[in-house]
Amino acid sequence: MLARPSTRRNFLRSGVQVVAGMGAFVSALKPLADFDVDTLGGVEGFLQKHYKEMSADDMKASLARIESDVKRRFDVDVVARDIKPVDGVEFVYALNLSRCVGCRKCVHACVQENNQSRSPEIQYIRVLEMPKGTLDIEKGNHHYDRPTVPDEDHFYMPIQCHQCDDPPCTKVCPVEATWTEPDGITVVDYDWCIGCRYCEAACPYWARRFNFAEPTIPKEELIAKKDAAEAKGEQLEVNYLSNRPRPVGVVEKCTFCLHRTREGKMPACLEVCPVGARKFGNILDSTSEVAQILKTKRVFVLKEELGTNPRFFYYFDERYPQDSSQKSFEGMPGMPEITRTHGASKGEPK
Amino acid sequence: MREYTRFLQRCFRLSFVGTKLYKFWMLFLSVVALIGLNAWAKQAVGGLATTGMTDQVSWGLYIANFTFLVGMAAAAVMLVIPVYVYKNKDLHDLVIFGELLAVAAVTMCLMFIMADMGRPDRGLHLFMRFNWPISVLTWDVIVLNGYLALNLHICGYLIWCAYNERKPGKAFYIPFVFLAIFWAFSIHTVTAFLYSGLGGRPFWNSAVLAPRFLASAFAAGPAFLVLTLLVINRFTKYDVPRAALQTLRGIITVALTINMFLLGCEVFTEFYTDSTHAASAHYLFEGLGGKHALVPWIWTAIALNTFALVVLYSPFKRRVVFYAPACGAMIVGIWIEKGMGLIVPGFIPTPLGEVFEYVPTLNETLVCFGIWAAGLLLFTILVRVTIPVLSGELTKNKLYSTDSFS
Amino acid sequence: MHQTVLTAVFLALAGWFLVGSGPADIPLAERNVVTLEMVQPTTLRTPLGPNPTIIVGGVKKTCQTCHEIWDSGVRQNKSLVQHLDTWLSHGENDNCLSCHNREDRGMLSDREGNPIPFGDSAALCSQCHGPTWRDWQSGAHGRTNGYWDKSKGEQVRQQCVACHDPHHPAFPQLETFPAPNTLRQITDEHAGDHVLEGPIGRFREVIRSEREAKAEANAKEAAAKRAALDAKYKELGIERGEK
Ligand code: SF4
Ligand code: SF4
Repeated sequence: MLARPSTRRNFLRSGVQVVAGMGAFVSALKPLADFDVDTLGGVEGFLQKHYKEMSADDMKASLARIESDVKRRFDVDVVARDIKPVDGVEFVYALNLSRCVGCRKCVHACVQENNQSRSPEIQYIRVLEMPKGTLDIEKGNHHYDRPTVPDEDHFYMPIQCHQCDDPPCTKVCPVEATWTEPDGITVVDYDWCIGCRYCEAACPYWARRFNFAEPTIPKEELIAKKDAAEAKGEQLEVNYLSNRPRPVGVVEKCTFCLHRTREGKMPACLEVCPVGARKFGNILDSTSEVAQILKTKRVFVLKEELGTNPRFFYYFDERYPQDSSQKSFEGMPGMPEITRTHGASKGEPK
Repeated sequence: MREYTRFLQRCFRLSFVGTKLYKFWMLFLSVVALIGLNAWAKQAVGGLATTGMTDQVSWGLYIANFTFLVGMAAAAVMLVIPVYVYKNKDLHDLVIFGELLAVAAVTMCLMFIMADMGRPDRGLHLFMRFNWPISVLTWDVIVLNGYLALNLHICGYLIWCAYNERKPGKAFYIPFVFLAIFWAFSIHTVTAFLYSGLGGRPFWNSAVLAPRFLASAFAAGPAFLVLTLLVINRFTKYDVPRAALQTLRGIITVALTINMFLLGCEVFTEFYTDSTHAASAHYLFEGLGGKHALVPWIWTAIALNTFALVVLYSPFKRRVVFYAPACGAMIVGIWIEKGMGLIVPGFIPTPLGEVFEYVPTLNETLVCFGIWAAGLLLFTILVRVTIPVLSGELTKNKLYSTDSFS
Repeated sequence: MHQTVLTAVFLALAGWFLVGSGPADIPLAERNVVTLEMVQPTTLRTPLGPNPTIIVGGVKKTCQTCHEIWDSGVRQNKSLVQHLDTWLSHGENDNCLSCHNREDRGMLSDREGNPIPFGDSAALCSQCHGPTWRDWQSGAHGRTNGYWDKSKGEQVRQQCVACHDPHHPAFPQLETFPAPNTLRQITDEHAGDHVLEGPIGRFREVIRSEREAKAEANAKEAAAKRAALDAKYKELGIERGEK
């Protein structure tokens, strides 16, 4: 066909070239040999439908897959559930900035409750140490590491997903992998997200996290959780839209612990808050704590000018809670000596 | 149909034939593309943690290159408009190169998006639950793929006609050409809307972003074409009309001027107001909180663009020795300004004020080089095949002698 | 010739892919170990129940056992043998009998001297802390644990004394849990050291110097107090446990 005479030698030579080229191509893909298809959810995961399109049977199959997936990854037996929103309930969070002392206990309780990856580290709550005199969060320090808190010069501002009524994050998702539920909680279908991270760019509160690597949770910590649950006569549960261990390459976020709150419980961050700065409840019930706070306190939301209409309110008390000179209790009888009980251990968990 | 397969076959074989220089160029591109493929395979196994991206800076080099390349693709129309709207004859024969560039650029865009996705295996979800028209990203998916299809059709049709020694039927491509003109504006505008629609990112949330995108695209795209045409002129028998290069120069000069002007407008608004929203601009131009990774880059970009602008307005503008470096400088300058200089600082500081830097990893950089190499490989092959067909050396009835290609 | 080069290059590349190139680097940061026990929803203190008792010499006694015979004065006076661990720092309220019932030490006392049981201390606190009491009633102040939906489970409204020690009610300093250590984070000592300009910056300077002076004075005063107390204990021959 081509004008150049295709002699046999020529043909052979170009054959060798082509083979060498193909060889290089195939060997370039060699890293894929280490690839574990299970991390992506296998065939079943691949064929699974969108959360809103699943029938009861589909959901059952999916939950069974989640259970065996957790077993495979962490060697722990769990019960997977899909708890639905309750009618007549819309969740609202309120946080008392006059009370928060910035101890970050909520951050770590959340990690435990929601099975976030420990390394690379994923946390839903960020506590900002704010210099007194400003409410501009750009002035806050995320990395304060003093042995004890609060510091007299600062106040503390925890920030997590604000469960916006007008969420910019769900708007941008190309595949509707994230949406707002009737009870006001913005959720992610971890089995539908394609990992484009557009929502992460869109969220004005930096509330979304991406699983850059396969999330790791130390097995012992899951077992400790299971033991604790069994001691209470319960099983270790995980929930489809919230705290089940996530696959790699998808986005996740705070869900106000919907697996707890939809069953009437308080979120984990609230339960552990030692100062009672966190308040949670049903805003449609006018007697609830949050309704009372919205009625009686002067509340504000972050970045109100963006029109996101958050379900997360901050408020203050009338006066500063205490005279700072009262606080030098150190060495007084009955005062606990504060040493940090946590340390950092090197390396990779699991 | 049989004829068509034969045509493809011949094109395929033709792409392996050429001078020594051509072959080494192709070898070089293949090697880089393969290294990139290897790096991508590693990324597929390790996850996006192999890149320098983090929750703080959640888009990096991939999206930066994507943004730049959308501009390159859109710029193809800068050749089409003078020809079909203003009936400029000089550029007529060159239109096809613009469209080939568009095809290659859009292909690279799609590859960059694939590389950036956390779960490319779920790409199918786009077909099953497409959040259109709410998500701007779905618009981008449509316009980019549509643009690719349009350009493939136009180039393919023209080449196919030339191959069959037919005169192209106007009805089969002129409407598409006009559609492509509007479409080109849309791809870049929609891509700008991807960013400017995010209220939580004040650095991007500016109405001037889309015009800026268009202006920079209409400078960098034609500049790249000028370089391509110079290469074609130098290494093939194809004779590029001088006048065409000068027409392109006019376009580039105006576009670059507008781009620099708009950049100036942004800089003024940010720094004169000096509200807290200017934090990203501060980070970009002078550093913030002791971090200044991007500062040398943006000033390099500004220096390159200024150099290009000065050359383009100077008396030497007609001389290739000045003109070509100016084009090169401008491409690099705009790549930095629009890629690194636009995407990355949008994330710094984070919406919560954390100043967290982004440094691309080696693996990520290799993937980028690989995609560029693959794109250039595609572009080279397309150009390689097109030239003999268009010049009537390779047709249905003519055997094409490789010796004539030098 | 160049065909051989081509083949050689491809083969070399293939070889490198197969043998030479390792997996891409993923920097896993140090993990902050926080275990489940460390994040339990326990309250800061455990308040005394409705009938407080005390163990003296291995025997359980009620308050009244001693106070039947021993009516201490109205002022704070603990230079004796009991209540050594109790110290008062409750603002102007430095009078034991402002809160404790003189007649029945197993009870608290309201302003008029009427008894209030220990388990109901909030009623006592509310006499002075009006706004806080109001906020506590509406739920804006204080901890609420358990269920937000009372139809599904028990809701616990924590009492004042679950968090505040009535003798020195200000909230103590707490341990800080680990700071974030996210992917590719480079911890920067000076991160967040914002130089605040304008009136706020100047205001902070004033506050800072005032506070430093105050802290110095406080430290002096505390040292003097302690020395005096120690001397007194020594005089009485009491071993004071170092806490
Ligand atoms: S805070 Fe962010 S993630 Fe949460 S609903 Fe709003 S935009 Fe979405
Ligand atoms: S990262 Fe996932 S949830 Fe977020 S926009 Fe992309 S597909 Fe939707």
